Amino acid sequence: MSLESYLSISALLFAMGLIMFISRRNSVAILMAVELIINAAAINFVAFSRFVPSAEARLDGQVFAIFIILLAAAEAVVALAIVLALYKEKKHIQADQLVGLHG
Amino acid sequence: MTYIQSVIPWVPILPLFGAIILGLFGKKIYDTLGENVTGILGCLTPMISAILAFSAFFKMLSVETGNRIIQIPLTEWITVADFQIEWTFRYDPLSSVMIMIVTGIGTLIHIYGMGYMHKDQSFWRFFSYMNLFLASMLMLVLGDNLIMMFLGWEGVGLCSYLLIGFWFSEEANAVAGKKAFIVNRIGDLGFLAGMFLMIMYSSQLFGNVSLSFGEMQSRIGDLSQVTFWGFPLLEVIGLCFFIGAMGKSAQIPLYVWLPDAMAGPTPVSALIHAATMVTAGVYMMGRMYFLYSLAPHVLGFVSLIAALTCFISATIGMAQFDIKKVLAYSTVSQLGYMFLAMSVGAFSAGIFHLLTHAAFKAALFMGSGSVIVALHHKQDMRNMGGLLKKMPITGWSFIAATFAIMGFPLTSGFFSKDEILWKAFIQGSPTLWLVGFIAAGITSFYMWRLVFMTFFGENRSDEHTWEHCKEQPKRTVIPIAILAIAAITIGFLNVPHFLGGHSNFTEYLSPVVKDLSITPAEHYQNVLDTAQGKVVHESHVDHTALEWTLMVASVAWTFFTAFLAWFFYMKNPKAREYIMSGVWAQKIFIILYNKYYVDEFYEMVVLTPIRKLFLFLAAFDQMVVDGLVNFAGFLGRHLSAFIGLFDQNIVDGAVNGTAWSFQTGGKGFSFLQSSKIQTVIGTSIVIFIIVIVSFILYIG
Amino acid sequence: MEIADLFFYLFSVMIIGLGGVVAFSRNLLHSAFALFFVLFGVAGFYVLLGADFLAMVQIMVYAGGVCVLLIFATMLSDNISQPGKSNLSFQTVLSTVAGGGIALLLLSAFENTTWNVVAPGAMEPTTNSIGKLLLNEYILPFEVISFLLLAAMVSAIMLVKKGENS
Repeated sequence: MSLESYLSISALLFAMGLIMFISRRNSVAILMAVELIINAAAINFVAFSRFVPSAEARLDGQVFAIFIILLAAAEAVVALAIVLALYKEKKHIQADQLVGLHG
Repeated sequence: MTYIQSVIPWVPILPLFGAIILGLFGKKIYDTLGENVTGILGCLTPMISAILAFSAFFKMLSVETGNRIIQIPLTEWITVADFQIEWTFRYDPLSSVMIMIVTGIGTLIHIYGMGYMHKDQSFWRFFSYMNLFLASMLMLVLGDNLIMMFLGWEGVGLCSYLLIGFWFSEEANAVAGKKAFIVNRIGDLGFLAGMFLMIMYSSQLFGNVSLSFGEMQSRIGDLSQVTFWGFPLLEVIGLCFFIGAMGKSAQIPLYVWLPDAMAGPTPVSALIHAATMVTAGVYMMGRMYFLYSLAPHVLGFVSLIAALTCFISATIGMAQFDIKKVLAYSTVSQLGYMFLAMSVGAFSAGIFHLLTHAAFKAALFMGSGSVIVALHHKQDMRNMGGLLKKMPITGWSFIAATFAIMGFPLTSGFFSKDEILWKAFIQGSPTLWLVGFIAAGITSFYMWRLVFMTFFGENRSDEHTWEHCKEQPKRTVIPIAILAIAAITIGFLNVPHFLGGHSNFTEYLSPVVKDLSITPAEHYQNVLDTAQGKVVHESHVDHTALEWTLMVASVAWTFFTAFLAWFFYMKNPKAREYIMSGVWAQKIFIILYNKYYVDEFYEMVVLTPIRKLFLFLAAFDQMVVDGLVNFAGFLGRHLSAFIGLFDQNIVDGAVNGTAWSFQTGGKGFSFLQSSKIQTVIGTSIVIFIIVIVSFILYIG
Repeated sequence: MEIADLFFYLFSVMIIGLGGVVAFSRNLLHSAFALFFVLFGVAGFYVLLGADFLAMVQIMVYAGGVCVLLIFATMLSDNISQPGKSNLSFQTVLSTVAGGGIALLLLSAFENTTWNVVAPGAMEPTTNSIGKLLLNEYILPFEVISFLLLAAMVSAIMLVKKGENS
C-alpha cells in the first residue's frame, strides 16, 4: 500500500475528529474527538517513518508516536478528572454551557 | 576582582533573597518554626549586608582618593541599537555612605521590628516587605545609571505602599497607602519625563546613550548648550527630576502623603518614611549635582520650595497631638532643610544632614513606637505624660535624639543644621537663612513640647493603661539606644574648619559631590565666562566672625524656644491656656491643627472638580444624549405613524426585511463572540481553510 | 492482491466506519465502544507499517487504558440515556464546513505533493532499537514525559479528591 492511502485514511479520521469536536456538546465526546485527531496525527508520523525515512534516524517517527500516545494518556487522565470534578460541581458537562469565564 | 567589587553586588542581592524566601515560604516557616526563627531570618540578610557594607567602607578608606569611583558591571540589560543599559553597580563615596545608612539603620530597625511586630499575625509578611524595601533602596543607591535608579525608585515606592497599608483590613490604612502611591506617581512622571529628555538629547547629540552617571557627567557641558522650547535643556531636565524628588521626598505641594503614611507600623515610619526612602530625592540631587550646578534657576525654585516646606510643616508640627504626626511633619521640615542645602549648592551639607537626620529621626520614631506599644496603641499625646519613670531607656534615648534634632551644641544636628544655615546665608540669601533659622526654633519648640507632654509631667492616661505600661523588651530598646548614641556623636564626622575640624565628611564626598563655593547663579555665570575664555576670580573672604555670630544666634534661639516649650508645657500650663484663649491664637491654632486645610484644598480644587466632571458627563449622557435619542425616537414614531398610514403595505415589507436581515446577521455574528471554545475553533478553521484556499488560488 | 493489502482495507474500513460511528452516533456509549475499535484499527495500521512495538503500546495504553477511562467517564458522568441532547444543532453546519473543508484540503495536498518515497525495507523487530533510542538520544524528552505523567497522575487525584471533600 502506498503512502498516500495511509495519509488519506488519517486525513479522513482527522476530519471526523474535527467535526465531532466542533459539533458535540458533551465534554467526554469532545475528549473522544481529541483522541481521534491525535491518532490521525500519529498514523502520519508512523507512515512517514516507514515510507520517507531519513537515513540515519529511521525510527524517529515511531518514537514521536510513542511520545504522542503518552501525552494523550496524560491529557486524557487530567481532562477526565476535570470532567468528573465539573460533573460533581455542576451536575452536567455540556461544553456549551460551561462559559463561566465569559464576562 | 578586588574585595569591594566582589562584595558590593551581594549587598542588595542578599535582602532580595530574604524577601523572596520569606515571601514564598514565610507562612510555612512562621507556622512551623515560630516567630523567633522568622524574625531572625528576616534580620539576618540585612545584617550580613550591613557587615559587608561597612567592611567595604573601611577598605575604601585605604583606596587613594582618585580611584574611589568603582564600577562593578554585572551584565547587559537593555540593548537596543545605540541605547545600552547595563546592570552596573557604582560604589563611590556617596553610595558607600548611603548603603551604610540604609543597611545599618535597616538592620537596627529590623531587630526593633521583631519586638514591635510581636504576635502580629502577618509577622512574616512584614519582614518580607522590609527586606524587599532594603533591596530596592540599595538598588536605587548603588545603581550606576538612571534606569537602575528608577527601578529602585519604583521598588521603594511599591514597598512604601505595601507597608503603609500593611494592616489593610482597616480602610484608613488602605486609603493612606493609595494616597502615597498616587501622589508618588505624580512625582515619578516628572522623573520619567526628565529621563526621556535626557535620552532624547543624548542620542541626538552623541548617537549613543547609556544613562550612566559618569557618561552624563562627561557630556553635561555639551548638553548645557542645548535649548528645549526656548529654555535651557538642563533647567528643564533638572526641574523634571526635582518634581520626582518632590513626590518621593514629600516637598510642597506633594508632601500630603507623608503624614498619612504614619498609618503603617512604626518601624516602617522609622525606616522608610524618615531615614531612607524619603531622602531618595535628596540623594538623587546629590548624585546629579553636576546637572544642578548648571541649572541655577531650578536651584532657585528648589530653594523657594524647600524654605516653604521647611517653615510650613514645622508650624503644622507645633499644633499636632498625634505623636507620630508631629514626627512626620518634623521629617517633612527636615527634608526641607536638606533641599535648602542642595539648592544653594552645598550638596555635601545636604547629604550630611541626610545622614544625621537618618540617625536621630529613626531614633525618635522608634522611641515613639516603643511608647505607642507600651500604651496599647494610643498615639494621642494628650493621654501621655510622666513616661520617663516607666520607660527610662526609651525616654533618655528619645531625649538624646531630641537634643540632636534641636541642634544642641556638639550633637550631630548642631553640625549639620548649622552648616546648612551658614551655606544658605552665604551662598543663598539672608532671607533663606532667616526662614531656616526661624524653622529651627520652631523645631526645637515642638520637639520639646512633644518630650514634655510624653515623658514628663503628670500621667494623663487611664489607670489601667498606666498600670500595664512598662519598658519594652531588650530587642526593642537596644536599637533605640544605639541610634541615640549615634545621633549624639555622628556629627563629629564633619566638624567645620572654623571650629577646628577638617570637614572630613565633605572631603570624603568630594570625588563625587562637589559643592559650589558661590551662589548657583554666579557659578553659572562663571561656567559661561570660562567657556568664553574669560578669567574668573573667586573671592576668598574670611567669614569666621560671621559664622560664629550666626551659630551663636541659632543656638540661643533654639534654647529660647526650648525654654518656651518648657515654660508652657511644664512650668506654667496656665500661661499657655491664657494665651490660647485669645481669639487670634485660637484661630491660628485651628488653622495649624488642620494643616492649613491643604487636604481640604486638594479635595476642593483637584478631587471635587474631577468628581463633578464625572457627574456632569453622566448627566450629559442622561439628559442630552438620551434626550436626543428619545427625541429622534419621538420624531421617528410620529413620522412613521404618519407615513405608515399612507404606505403601510409597501414600505412595511422593506422595513421588516431590513430588520430581519439585521437580526439574522446579528445572530450570525453573535456566535463569534460566544466564548465557546468549539465555535471559536470551528470558525477559525473555516477561516484558515478560506485563507489557504485563496492563497493557493490567487498566489500559489 | 496481497494479504497485507487485504488487511489494509479491513483496517481502513474499521477506522473510517467505526470512526463515523464515534463521530456521529447519538449515543455516547456507542461512541466510546466504537472508539475502542478505531484504536484497534490504528494499531493494525501500525503493524502494517512495521511498527510492532508501537502497535502493542497503542493497544495497551490506548485501547486498554484511555478508552476504558473514557467509557468509565461516560457512564459515571452524564445522562447518556438522553442522547438527543448530545449534539449542538446549530454548529453542525459549521463543523461540516470545517471538517469537510479540511479533509478536501488535506487530500488535495497529498495528491499534489511529490513524496520522496524510499522503497520500504524488510520489516524488523523495532523494540530493541526504540528502547536504545529512548534511553540515548531521546533521554531528555523521555524524562520530561515521565515527569509529566507523574504530574498528571497527581493532579488527577487532587482534582477528583477536591471534589469529594466539598
